[in-house]
Amino acid sequence: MPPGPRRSLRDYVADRLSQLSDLGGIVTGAHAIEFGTGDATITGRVMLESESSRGMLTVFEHLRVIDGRPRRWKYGYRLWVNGEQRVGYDRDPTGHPEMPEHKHVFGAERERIPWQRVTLHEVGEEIWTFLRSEH
Amino acid sequence: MPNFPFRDPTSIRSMDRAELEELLRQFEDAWTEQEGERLTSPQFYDRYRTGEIDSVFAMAWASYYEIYRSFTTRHDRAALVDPLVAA
Repeated sequence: MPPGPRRSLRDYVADRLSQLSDLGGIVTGAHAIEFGTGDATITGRVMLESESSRGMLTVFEHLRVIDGRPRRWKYGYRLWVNGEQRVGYDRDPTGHPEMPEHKHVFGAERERIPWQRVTLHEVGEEIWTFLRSEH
Repeated sequence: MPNFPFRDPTSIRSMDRAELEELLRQFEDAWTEQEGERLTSPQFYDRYRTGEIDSVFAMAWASYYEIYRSFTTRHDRAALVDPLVAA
């Protein structure tokens, strides 16, 4: 994992919340909690809508200061299109240390697919691709 | 202003150890309601570590439990170790 810039956890949390607002949807809830342990969490939901489809992105992030730099220690993103859960991206090094970063394709046979680390921006792009392709 | 005319309903707040303990209880209650089985957070965490439970709900519950344990470790150090170091 490449080191991110040195900055405060509070600044990083504010930056993550602002990224949620930049996905092109309506943030219907985004709540960050800071703890005195170098940890913070973000729970959020973004509604996205095209001419014919409705999408929703739910977000959970566990941010942690590691070696003086705040990082996404865990994340769980879920993409919903027209009420159906389609895809999920997780980073979960404690639940699945053998495959921390993985993808879920709901309805597929394989429960977890090895996947690279994803950014919130990439996940946002994917949900817009889903929405544009649904008619 | 992507959300005009609405303001983003975002919030940032701090949470202490007692509030976190209450939040863990809420996860335990939600699990009981959904699964019909009562699990304490430590019991849940042991099961979660086996990879048996795989959901964002579980990931979040586990995260809050890990943070709680971190609080506890710091609290123990402050109460049991630091005074001896100072002495």
